Amino acid sequence: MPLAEQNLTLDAGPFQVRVRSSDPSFLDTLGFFYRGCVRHDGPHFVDFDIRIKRPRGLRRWLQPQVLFEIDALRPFEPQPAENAFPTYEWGLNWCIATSAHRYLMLHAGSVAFGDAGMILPGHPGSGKSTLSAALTLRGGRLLSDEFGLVRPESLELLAMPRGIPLKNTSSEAILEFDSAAPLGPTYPKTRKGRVRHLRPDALSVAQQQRTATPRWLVFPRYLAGATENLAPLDKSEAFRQLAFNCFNYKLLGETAFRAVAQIVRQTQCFTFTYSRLDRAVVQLMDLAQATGPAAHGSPR
Amino acid sequence: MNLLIQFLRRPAIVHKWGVEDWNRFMPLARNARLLGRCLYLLEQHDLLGVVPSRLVDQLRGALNQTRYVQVQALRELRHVVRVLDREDIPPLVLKGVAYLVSGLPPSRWRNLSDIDLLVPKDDIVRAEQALGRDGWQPSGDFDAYDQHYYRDWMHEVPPLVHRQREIEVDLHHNLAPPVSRIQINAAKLWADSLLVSGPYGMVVRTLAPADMLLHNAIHLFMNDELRGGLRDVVDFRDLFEHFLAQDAAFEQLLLGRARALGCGRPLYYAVSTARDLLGLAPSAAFLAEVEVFAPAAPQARLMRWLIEQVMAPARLGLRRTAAANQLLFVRSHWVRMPPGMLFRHLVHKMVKAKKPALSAADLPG
Amino acid sequence: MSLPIPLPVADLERRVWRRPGPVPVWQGEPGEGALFDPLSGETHFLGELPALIVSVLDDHWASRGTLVERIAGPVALEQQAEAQILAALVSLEAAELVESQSPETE
Repeated sequence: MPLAEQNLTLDAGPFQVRVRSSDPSFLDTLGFFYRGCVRHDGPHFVDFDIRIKRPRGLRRWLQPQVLFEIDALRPFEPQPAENAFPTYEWGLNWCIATSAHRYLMLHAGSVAFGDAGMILPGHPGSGKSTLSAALTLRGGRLLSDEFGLVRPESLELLAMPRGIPLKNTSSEAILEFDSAAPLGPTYPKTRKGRVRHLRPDALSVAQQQRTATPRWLVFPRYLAGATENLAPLDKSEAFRQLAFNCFNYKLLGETAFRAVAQIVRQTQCFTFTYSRLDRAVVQLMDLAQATGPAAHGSPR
Repeated sequence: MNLLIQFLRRPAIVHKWGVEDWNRFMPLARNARLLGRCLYLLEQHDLLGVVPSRLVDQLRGALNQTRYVQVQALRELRHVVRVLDREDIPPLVLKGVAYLVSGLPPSRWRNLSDIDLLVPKDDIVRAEQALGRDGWQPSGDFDAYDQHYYRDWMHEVPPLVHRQREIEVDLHHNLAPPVSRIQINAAKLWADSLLVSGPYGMVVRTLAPADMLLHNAIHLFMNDELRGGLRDVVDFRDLFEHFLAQDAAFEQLLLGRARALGCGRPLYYAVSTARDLLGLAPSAAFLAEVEVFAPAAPQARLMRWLIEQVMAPARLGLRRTAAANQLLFVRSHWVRMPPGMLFRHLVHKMVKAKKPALSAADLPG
Repeated sequence: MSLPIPLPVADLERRVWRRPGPVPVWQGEPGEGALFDPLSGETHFLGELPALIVSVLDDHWASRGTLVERIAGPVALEQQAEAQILAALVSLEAAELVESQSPETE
């Protein structure tokens, strides 16, 4: 039965996102992940005006597809209709990456313990999303798994708690880590492989307007069979790697240079090799407790 | 008259705006690449306090992006000028980069995607070869037909880009293609050109103010797509008002130049569009003289309709806009090229693959 | 690598050098750490000698001799050290951090 188009406004950290769709399955999934983010008082100023819709035409019946529309424009090819939710997530990432240059945008997971932030930049093969997910399941407050947003003038880390995409075997790793982890539907065939998302926890969502101060900069590297090893990292090297992991480093010019230099100056910098998620989380949480304000929250 | 146009005519209108007005305004401004311009208007008119802070963030983000491309454009220009100086080829900068090196008002907010240079006709091939030796290469896959189009029809070398950088360099030897109705004597442009000291010791030429405005008009109304055009109309208005403020005789100067270069018709369209959409208010005497360049009334009416459809759509995504875009596309080529050539050109363009849409694999996350 | 024209060493030795434009931004003290060049928008991680050269050049043309004096004082350097300085200048020019010209120009 065709549904009338629904119109929702969602909090996504510093952004307010308008989402319109008449796709019942997509709307269900959106509700599963972001019920706590829906704004009911209206009207709202909109940062991104997004529509998820089915294209017209015969295709509609033969091979259902879904289109991502932003400001009535369509930057991407149509996707298979069953991938509506991941398409929405990636589309929103694109909108942020191409427009939110008011912020320094780090390619990093980030988790807060109280007001102290741990930044986990996303080297290839780092597993930063899986690590970020696991840390939040043990009480860390989710700031980001992909876009670490920083106000360059104050270096505050902003929170944007969203579904964390776990690719291929990462979702199994998370379920092994915490069998009660709230995962969404499986999307077997996306452009990035098999994906399942972890729902952001209620506390992270409730506190998404609360910022954090960067205190630890940890460059993770997953290495099968390795013993967990947190090793101090030389500041010059930390600068180089953090700059490399900043989406809009070049675009922000001197502002980015100074901000990255200051983040490196004020944080403890490490490389972190790990293979077992449970041991990795223990080690990182020990770091947070030993060298910063006490971690908030309790194991779930 | 959509919200963006209303704002550009009279920024104080934002005092009356509610939430939905702002929500309709932002996509229009973004699509027209005018976010930076709007930020400056709000600042100039002391209106920032009225703007929701999340939207100020969006405007500032856009301006950050503009600053970056401006730095890169000047960087590219420095490199090109070094090569051309060595060859004793005098570069004359056009459009956005010209505003930048001259410190004209649009330099504060104007985005650039490439740099446009005028060189003497006899030097253009030598310029292209010198740049080629120093690391510039064609920016796309240009087959023999494209080469012919650019070189023989359009007064251009196919766009170049340096292998280590990203900004495109467009070399021209005239402002309007030889195949169009308008035949400009390039020597006149050079004769009136100005020598400008750009940032950090760079010395280049720019067009004289009147010629700059005429180039804006020609570029806009004889171009492939008017889609980005509102921004150029805003430039036209801003520059016109600036030059007039500097020289009370500017209107007469502009008219004289339009006659001397045979650019009356584009000037007519630029002035009428800037008046209709943006409230440009030249003197009655000037308007009377510009009116002489107008086409027959039916054509003027059709153009006015088309321009409004493309540059001031009520909302984005309207089908009408796509049709009007299509018409303008055809019209602009028709203006530039004799009908036989036009048909061949359009067929060729249709056959060439367009830039593919982004795929999900390109996205972060 | 994009030195405009490959030059024989003799010509290279006679050229004059300067750092055009705005003062670069250092991560630490002048000469220390990463370097941001506002002119190109690029960030550089320079070795000790190139960093030293950048920090002693300004926007006035300086000969190689002047440069050496600023770095090492009024001493005569060995051939090898002189060669290293020239090599550093060449790579700095490729990185757009310095400019050079032949001394006869203007």
